[in-house]
Amino acid sequence: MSTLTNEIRRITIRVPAALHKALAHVAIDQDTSLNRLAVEALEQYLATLKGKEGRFPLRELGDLLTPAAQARGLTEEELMQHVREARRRIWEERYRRMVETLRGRSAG
Amino acid sequence: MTKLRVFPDTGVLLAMMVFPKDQYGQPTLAGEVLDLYEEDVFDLIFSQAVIDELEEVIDRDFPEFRSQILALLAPFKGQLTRWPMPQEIKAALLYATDPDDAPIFAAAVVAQPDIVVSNDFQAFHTPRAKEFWAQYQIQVESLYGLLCVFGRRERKD
Repeated sequence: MSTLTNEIRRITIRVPAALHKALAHVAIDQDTSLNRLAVEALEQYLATLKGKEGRFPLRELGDLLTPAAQARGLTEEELMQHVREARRRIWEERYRRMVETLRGRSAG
Repeated sequence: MTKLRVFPDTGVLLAMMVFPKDQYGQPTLAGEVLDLYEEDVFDLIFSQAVIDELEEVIDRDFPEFRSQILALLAPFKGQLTRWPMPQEIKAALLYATDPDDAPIFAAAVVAQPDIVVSNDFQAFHTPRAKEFWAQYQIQVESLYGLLCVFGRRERKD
């Protein structure tokens, strides 16, 4: 068990009888206490939340964009074409001159 | 076990977000890859270059969501890998069929992924492009190929 700190606090939770029974069985199977099992489960839950926090919210972004794309009849092919156009604009605005200058210097 | 680091092309990223399901409600290849990402099977690495392209497309096609999308992305700004330097783009220019793709090729190298995923076969999967990726020990895959990497599909060849 990897507790977050050495200081111990008490919480009291009420759970359905069936869940209590199932957890008790797992605790017996794993030769551990119900308390230790609950602490490990809570730690795993926190770790999962922390992991999710670090992940890009692609589903949330999609929840905004998918209905809008459907409403406009926007196809995947059109969107890919728009990516190419965006790429060209960024390239021309930001890099073309710099790279051409660099190329000219190395040629000369 | 260390998770594979996957660099998505902007097109793949948009497909994952906007087209995770087909017209019959079934998961698309992009949707299946999104599911794997949410199952924590691999890590996605995002470049500032990809996010800039994404923002341009949002401005064009979904301007009403710009502020909401920027707010959702804001906490992740610190995780973005940097724009490539001109010298890095120049090195990529030799291998890109279309010079417009050179900054994204270079941005991928900066991000140091294990895999670049793109369904743009005429840009990312040409023999010259594959030479480029091989120089940096980067594997290039399509969405289908990425599902093969994780055992969700079988190679067709």
